[in-house]
Amino acid sequence: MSKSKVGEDVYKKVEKVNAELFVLTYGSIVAQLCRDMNYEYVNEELEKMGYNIGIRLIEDFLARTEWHRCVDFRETAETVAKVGFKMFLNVTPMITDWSEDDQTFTLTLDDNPLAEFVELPVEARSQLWYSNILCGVIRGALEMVQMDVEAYFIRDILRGDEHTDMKVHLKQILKEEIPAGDD
Amino acid sequence: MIVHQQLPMSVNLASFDFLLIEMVHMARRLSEKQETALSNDEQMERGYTFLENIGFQVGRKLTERLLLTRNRIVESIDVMRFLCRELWPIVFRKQLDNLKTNRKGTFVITDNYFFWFSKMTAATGTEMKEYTTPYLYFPSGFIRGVMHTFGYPVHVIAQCPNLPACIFQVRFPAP
Repeated sequence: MSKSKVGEDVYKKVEKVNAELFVLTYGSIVAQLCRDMNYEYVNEELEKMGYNIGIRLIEDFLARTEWHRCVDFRETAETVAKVGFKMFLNVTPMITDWSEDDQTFTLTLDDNPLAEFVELPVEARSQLWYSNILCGVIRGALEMVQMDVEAYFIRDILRGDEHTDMKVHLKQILKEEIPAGDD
Repeated sequence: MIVHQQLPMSVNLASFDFLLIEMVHMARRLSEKQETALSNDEQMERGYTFLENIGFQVGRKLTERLLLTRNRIVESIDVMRFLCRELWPIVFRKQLDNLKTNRKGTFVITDNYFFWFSKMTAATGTEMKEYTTPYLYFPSGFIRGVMHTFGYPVHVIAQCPNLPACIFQVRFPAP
């Protein structure tokens, strides 16, 4: 069964929530963070939120899809885009721009559900990565399956760019370790 | 749930849950990180205000969005009904169970099965209060935001008498 089919099937089965509510809740969180601290810090905080979500979200992902271990990073990328994104956010980003060593790819999120109805104030455009939470989610989720990745936005439509692009880079495969005192 | 079907786009409910729960965790993290000149209580207070404000914004925006397609409501009792029957289910999945009023501008609304509390282990006394308090600020702010949109600057007091129930007292200003 193709990956997009799996993503769609799982999505059909889960309980859903109105996307507008989701968007405006996320928007209110970001806006409140921006009121309290500077943009650099907001980016960091959003990433951290995402990371915490990611390490829990992977459980839900594995439980619902019964996914097997991916053979290489290329398959991981496809899984993230076609199953993960589809299942949780009901969109499928495109994968482009593979590096030669197959360790880095770009996710193009042109219909980013988080950024619906959003317009950034001028001074935020050069500093804020509005959807930075997604980077954290990917990092957290992949870390739980032994992949140490780095994810960051390089372009965002909200900043006036043509596309919304996130780079994901595999730093290393983590060794499976038994947690201390748990043998 | 009428609204769910009207709007074509949807996302996984789990994503929304993850977001809201992490929001509460973040508020705690932020309040702990603030300068140490503040006392513990003041720091907590900041985290709570943070959550309350987010709830307020969500309530305000959602109400404005829904009012685009319907008639304006004026009377306080009708506004409360609108909250219980239509807005609450969108965010908190089910209608509120009970709406009482003393007819002098105070309303008491009860959710017997508040969804955030439904997955908590049973606790009692101060322990329960400690667990549940941070989760009460978002819904209180939400109610305030909704009422604000209708022009009522209300006061909301929330409490959790026992899990998983949740009671909100909404006081309207004297006319």
